[in-house]
Amino acid sequence: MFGGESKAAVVNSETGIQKSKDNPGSPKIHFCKLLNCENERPADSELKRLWKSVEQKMAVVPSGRVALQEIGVTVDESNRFSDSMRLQQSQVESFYMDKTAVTNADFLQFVKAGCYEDTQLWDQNIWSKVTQMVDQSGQPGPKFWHNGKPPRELMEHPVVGICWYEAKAYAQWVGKQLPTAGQWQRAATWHHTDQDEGSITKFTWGGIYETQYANAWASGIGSTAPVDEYYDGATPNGIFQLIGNTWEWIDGPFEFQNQPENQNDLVEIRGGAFDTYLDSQMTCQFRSGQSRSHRSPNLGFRCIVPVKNLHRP
Amino acid sequence: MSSKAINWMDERSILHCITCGAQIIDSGTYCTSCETPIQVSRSVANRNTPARLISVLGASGAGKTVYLGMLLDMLNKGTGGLRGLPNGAFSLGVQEQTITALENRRFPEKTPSEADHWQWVHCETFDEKSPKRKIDLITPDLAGEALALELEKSNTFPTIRTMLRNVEGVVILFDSERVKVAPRSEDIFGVKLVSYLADVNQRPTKERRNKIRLPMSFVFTKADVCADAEDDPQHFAKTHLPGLLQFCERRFERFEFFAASVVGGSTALTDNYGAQIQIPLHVQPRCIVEPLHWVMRQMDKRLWKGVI
Repeated sequence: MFGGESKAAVVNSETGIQKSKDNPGSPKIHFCKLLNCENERPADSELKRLWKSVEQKMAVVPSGRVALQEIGVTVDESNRFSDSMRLQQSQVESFYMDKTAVTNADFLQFVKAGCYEDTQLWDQNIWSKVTQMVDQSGQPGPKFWHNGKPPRELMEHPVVGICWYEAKAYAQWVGKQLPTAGQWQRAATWHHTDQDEGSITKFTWGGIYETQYANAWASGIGSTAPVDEYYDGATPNGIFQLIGNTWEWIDGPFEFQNQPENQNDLVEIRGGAFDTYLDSQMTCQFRSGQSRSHRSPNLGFRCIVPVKNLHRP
Repeated sequence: MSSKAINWMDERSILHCITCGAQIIDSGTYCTSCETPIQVSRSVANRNTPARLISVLGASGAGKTVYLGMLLDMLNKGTGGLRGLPNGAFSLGVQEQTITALENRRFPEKTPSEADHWQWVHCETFDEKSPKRKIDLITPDLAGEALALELEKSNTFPTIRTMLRNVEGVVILFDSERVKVAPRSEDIFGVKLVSYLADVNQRPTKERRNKIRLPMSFVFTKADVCADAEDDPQHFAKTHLPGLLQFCERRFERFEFFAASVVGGSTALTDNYGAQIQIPLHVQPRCIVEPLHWVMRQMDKRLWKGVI
């Protein structure tokens, strides 16, 4: 099993690919793929090399508490809905998070590896849906690709047009997981307060929205940007674009408190995107949702792996 | 009121109603002929350049308030080469109501049917490339029910008739999901509306052979929940609103279809009585300004040709 509760670990040799003189046009690969070493543990020298790659591509987020906003909806005497907001404290253990969102170049490796045909990566209940996860030319892949490939100029942009199931399958393939709401929020706020009371830090860089720190509607770009831009908006441990550029899939349902369970098929999304209009809706605390099978041009993901799941060499 | 009766008054206190052109006294509240609020006419009179009107129309539930509120907010900020300045504090009502509601994850309250409850908007809009050519987005946030009544029986709401007689362009909204689910009734409503527009914009007999030049942009709203409309609004219109399309092709020279959405996701919650209410999850405007921009460009073409 990759990256699960049993001690799995570390990376393959694909991680070190960078732009080089020999291959100047090649896209940067931002992901590292974890190995299952339950049965066969690599040599320590190999593990050291691979660990270096993890530390280049992922950032450690220390353990701590987060205050998640619970969105409640109540009906008043005149039968009108009103919001109620409650903070729910949650303890998060330390974990590694991808420094950047998964890029088109990263996701291309997943497509090339034939993962859409690998039934082990997909829940049996959605096998029929997987056949419909095709690009503009009918090939398996993200919605806005053509012939199983992303546009060349967008290789280092976040992959979009993928549903929650595709994000989940990719995460499983690289031996990682999608972050939970608590993990995502901890990654965005850990450096401001241990308690993360919610009102202290709205954005990864501070309390006031700055158009030059994140790609949102107010930036006026109107599309995705490469995943390693907006350096000033990154967290101190180098996690880019938690705010803006694309919404990110979260591993957990989006529910309103007080509402019957399973009333909708929504999964939580976080962070806002290039087309998010209100800056109050792209804070570290704001929670929104989207249907699991939704494939939109402003929704991508990144992965995490709990520290406890990794072996040190 | 006759002009004789107001001769004694200072000329500066006499205005011309922006919609019907009647002489009105500045101290009043509504035009006595067509019931347009005087503050709208006053805001244009203060500017000293003639008004060129565009209005936003749609059936009940088409999303006029949300569309209009978002449009005004985006114009204020400047979007897609268009910019707008609200003329008069009254023009901020719809915008404020919409943005406040959406920030609190609600859609605005339904607009009342009574004309004196409608919020009016006057926004001087211009293309940033030619800022001197101003167009007046002047429209009440009118209730769809009132429009339907006016279409059934002309002059039930004189404001609507006089306003539509004087507009140089219109933006017409349809709820895309309703068009998909009940195309027949939406098509009939659409035909009624454009025939009404054709009627009030009818040229003198000599020109009747020509098509009407009034530019109309049709907007399929709430496209976030209707992929068919979002992907290809022209084809969506052809499939679901054939009567409207045919009428427009026969009678109007310029029209175009768009698909717009204000929110990027919504969910339905059930109240104590089992009724469902839509809750907007986050705001993500798509194709809000484009329909207006298209109409404005068509109006410029009309001017250039010396048609008006």
